[in-house]
Amino acid sequence: MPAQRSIAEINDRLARGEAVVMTAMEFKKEVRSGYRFKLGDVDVVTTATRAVMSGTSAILGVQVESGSGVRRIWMNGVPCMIAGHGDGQIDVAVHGTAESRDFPAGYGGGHLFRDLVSGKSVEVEWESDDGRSTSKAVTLSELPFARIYSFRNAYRNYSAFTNAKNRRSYREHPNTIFANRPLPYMKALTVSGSGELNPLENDPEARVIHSGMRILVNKSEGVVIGAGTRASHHGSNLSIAADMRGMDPEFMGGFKTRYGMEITNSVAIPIPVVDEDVLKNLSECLDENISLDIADLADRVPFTQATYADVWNGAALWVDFNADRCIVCSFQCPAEYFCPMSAISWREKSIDQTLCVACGACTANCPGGAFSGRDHAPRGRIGDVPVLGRIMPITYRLSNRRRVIELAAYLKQRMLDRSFFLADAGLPLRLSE
Amino acid sequence: MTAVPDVGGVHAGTGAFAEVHEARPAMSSSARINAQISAGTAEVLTLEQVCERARGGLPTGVDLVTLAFPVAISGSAAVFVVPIAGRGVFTRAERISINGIPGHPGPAPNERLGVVDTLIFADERRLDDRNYDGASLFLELLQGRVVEAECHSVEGTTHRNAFALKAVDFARFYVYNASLPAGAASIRYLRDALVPGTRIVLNGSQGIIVGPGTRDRPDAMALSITADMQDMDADLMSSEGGRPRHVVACALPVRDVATIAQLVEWTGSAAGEALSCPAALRAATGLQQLIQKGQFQLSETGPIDAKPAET
Repeated sequence: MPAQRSIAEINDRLARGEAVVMTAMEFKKEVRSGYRFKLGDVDVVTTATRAVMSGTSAILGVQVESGSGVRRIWMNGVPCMIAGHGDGQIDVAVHGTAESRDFPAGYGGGHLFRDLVSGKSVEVEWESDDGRSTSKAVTLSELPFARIYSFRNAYRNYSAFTNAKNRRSYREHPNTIFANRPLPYMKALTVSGSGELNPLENDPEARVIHSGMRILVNKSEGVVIGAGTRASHHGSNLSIAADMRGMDPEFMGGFKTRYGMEITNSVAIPIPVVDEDVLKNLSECLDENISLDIADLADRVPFTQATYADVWNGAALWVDFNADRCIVCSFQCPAEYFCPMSAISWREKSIDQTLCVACGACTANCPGGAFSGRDHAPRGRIGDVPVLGRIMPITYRLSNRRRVIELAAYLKQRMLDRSFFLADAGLPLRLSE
Repeated sequence: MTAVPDVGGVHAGTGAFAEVHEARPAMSSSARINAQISAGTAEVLTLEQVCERARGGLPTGVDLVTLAFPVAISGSAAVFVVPIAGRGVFTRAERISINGIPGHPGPAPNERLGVVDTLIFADERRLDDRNYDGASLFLELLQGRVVEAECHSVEGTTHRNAFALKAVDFARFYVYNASLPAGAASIRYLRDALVPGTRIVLNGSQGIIVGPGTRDRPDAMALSITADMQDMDADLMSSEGGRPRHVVACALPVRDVATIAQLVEWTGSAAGEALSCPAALRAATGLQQLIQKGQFQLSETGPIDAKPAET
């Protein structure tokens, strides 16, 4: 029987303050420097991902005073689905991708969740069976229940998309969540995936990521429910849940796209090093070994590959606004217009870094070149990837490594502080072929 | 598996039972019991068996008690990935229904994939037949019947497809509110044992506790639970002449004889009817057999006294 350790043993070591916890960044650095990890060197490696995560909803309990039944309900204009009512409380489900009727194309479920977590007051409006409309303001602390439920999150990396086939279906309907404007033929690439820091990439067979595992979602303690919708052995992903109380707004939020509202989340997962296979997977999971499928946007069928090193090696994790280069576009600042997080104010010549996800939409759309990735990033793009013998600019990057690094480090600290222990129900994920 | 503490003597049936449990660290109790489950030496009784034996004095030497209870289906939804058409046939679903029950497409848009992530609430009703609701649909799916989905795309096209549960890659119940039988809230031990990540059995399929339910109150305990639908037992969910309901089974590690006394007292209270209904007894026995066959283990959830996060 190969050497192995149990989750309970590692928890024991955490409780005694003897456990060795490393972030994925620290672990990979050692691997690259030539160190070969042995079982017993490290107990837990913390991994994380932050990106657009479409499959996110919330279930909220709202107290309403209504003589008759409630027919329809909105929060800040975002339509809610009635899940149940009684005792003056309505349980509603809200999709992170739902769009507000009050601010179409500007506010959605993801914005609502961030506003609630920020402590802001939101307006609940409901229509009773008798046709009366009532509204009131609530804050998160006044909701008896508020939990994020996701049905598909934290993909084991993802794909890059370009317009490779110039299909008629795409030319006629260029709307997509993966790009903020129609992509020219083979001249722009949109990418997603946190590469070597991604939880499932570090545990590709889901040997230790199981149902019932304790995780962090936007810094709040949560749980892995199981495999997410469309999870397969090739593209695993998770269904997760976490209470909204305790979340950090900077790690989440609404995300405007060319095709409606989207939502971003951050997920951190501890990988317990229970046996040699887990250690081997962690050691082999390096950006340069992880292939990135490049697919046509119209049919989403991959036609070539690059690696995550092409995306993340030396990549800019911050975007800066050089006010001297702003040419004061007279009608509408394109960078401000295309910013999915509404982080840019051209009047104030500033980027709100608590919102910015460094997607690069501003770098690709500012005619004056006032926005650029910090350090070595080229102008007019957030990075480059070689595709079929040519250099293709990354014009849109939907994963945010800066927050990934912060979250993996935060989880490590929580474990060393003994405020976060491993949990595991031992139920493997159900992945389809 | 070297860290499993030596707790020999527990099964000797001596009065030392409580002392042994106090002496060992709280965090390794699930690891100890799991080792016994693997070795086939865990003493598992159903709550019904415990109550029978308790007539002649509280039983000792018990490691686990399995119990089950029905919960109203109202507080639940199911999520399906509904196969509709081939890739690229339509961009997004605008509306979808299954057997006439309106579902909610999303949250993921599944652009151009031809399959639709669909959320359906148990209480959702068919417009032309108010007696047929989401719960009826769930039961039909568990019974293996073929159902029909109708999807309207954003392009204005309509697509139909008939399918059975086994053709669906993803089908899971998200029970956001499962109320425990009356009196549970006053049993501190239940709150300690039924924490997020705890493994449970829902209608015969293994799942987990996500956290407290939407209507959990200090005086009324409720849980959120999820489990995959594929392995579920339709007979547990169907109720003769009544609305389908869920049956939740859980395995409680026995801390001491006081725990057993509390559970016996609870069964004798107003909760008895729910805990002793035929479906609950069958589900508790089913879980007992799973444990005896080594097919169900307790969750490891770490020490219950972890420090709160410094924020």
